[in-house]
Amino acid sequence: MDFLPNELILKIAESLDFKALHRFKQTSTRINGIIKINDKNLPKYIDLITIEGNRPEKSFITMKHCESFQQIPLNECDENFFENAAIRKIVFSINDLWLRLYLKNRFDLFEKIGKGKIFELDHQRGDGILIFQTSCRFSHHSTFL
Amino acid sequence: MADGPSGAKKCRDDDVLFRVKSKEDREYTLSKKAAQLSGTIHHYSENYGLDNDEAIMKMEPMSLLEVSSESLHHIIRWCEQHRNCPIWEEEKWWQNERDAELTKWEDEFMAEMTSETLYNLFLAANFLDIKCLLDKCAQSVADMIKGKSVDEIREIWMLENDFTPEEEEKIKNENPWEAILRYQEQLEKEKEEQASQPAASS
Repeated sequence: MDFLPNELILKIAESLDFKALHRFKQTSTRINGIIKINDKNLPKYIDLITIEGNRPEKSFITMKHCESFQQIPLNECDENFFENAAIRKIVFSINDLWLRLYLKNRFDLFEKIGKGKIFELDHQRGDGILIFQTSCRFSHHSTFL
Repeated sequence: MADGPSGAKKCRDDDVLFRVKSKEDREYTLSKKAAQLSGTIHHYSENYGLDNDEAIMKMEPMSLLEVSSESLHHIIRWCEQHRNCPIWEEEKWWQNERDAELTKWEDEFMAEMTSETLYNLFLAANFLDIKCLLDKCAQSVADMIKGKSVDEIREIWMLENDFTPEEEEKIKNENPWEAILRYQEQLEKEKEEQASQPAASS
C-alpha cells in the first residue's frame, strides 16, 4: 500500500467507518498524514446536534474541524454528510404536536441523521422537562421513539 | 487465468473491437462499448480520431505501459460485464439501475482477488479511470481492513510502522472519543458473552 497514490488511500478511507478509520490512521505516518489533511471529507465526529421543535432553520450541528468548533445549520447538510458519522449527542425539544407529526410523517431530518451512529440522546419536552435520557446507546434513530 | 464468475459476458462476433496492449506487450481486445467505461481510453480515442467504427477497426493497439497482463485480463472481464452501464463521460454509473445479478457477479469477481491482485487492479483501474471498478476496489480494500487490528492491517498491506513509540502513543490517544470506543467494545464483548451463555449452560 506504500505505493498507492494519495487519492486511492483517501478513497479507501471514505469507505471506512470511524472506528476502522482510526485504526487505519495508526498504521503509518503517511496514511495518518493523508487522512489528517483531508479529514473534512471523511467520516465525521459530530459532537452535538441541537434541534429546536419542528424548525429545521433553528437546528445546528456542532463539530470540531481544524482544531476549532464549528456550527453548521442542519438545513445545509444532506444525508451524505451523515454517512458513517459518529454523533455523540442529539438534543431536541418536542411537543405533542411535533411528536404526532413525526410519528405520522417521519421527518426527513431524522432519516438523514440516521445514517450516522448515535451515542447519546436527550429528549426534552417543549417546556424543558426532561422525559428521558440515554447514554452511550448505539442505535439508529428509529429505535428510540 | 480463470474465466471467473459464471455467466461472464464476452465480446460478441459483431462487436467493434478496441485493441490494447499490456506492459508485457501482450495484446488484448475489448468491445467498443466496454472500452467506453474507461476515461483514459475515452481521451485516447478523442486524441487519435477513433470516433467511428472504421477508425477503431484500423487502429494500432493502445499501449498501457502501467497495466500488467493479469490486471488487464481482469479489467476487460469487468468492462465487458458492465458494457451496458452508462459510459465514463456521464459519471453517473451509480445511478444506473442495479440489478441483483450484476451485484452478485461483482461480489464473486472481487472474492476471487488476493490482496496483491486487488492492489494491482486498484492501480490499473485508477490509471484507466474506470470509476465503477475504482469504487468497488476501494470498498473491497476497506472491507478487508474492517474488523482488523492495526498490526493485521499492516501485515496484509505490507505497511511499515514508521511511528516513533511516542508518536504511536500520541496517535492512539488522539481520538477524543477513545473512552466511548472502549465502552462500545466492552458492550460488544458483553453482548457476545451473553449470546454464548445459553449455549454454554445447555
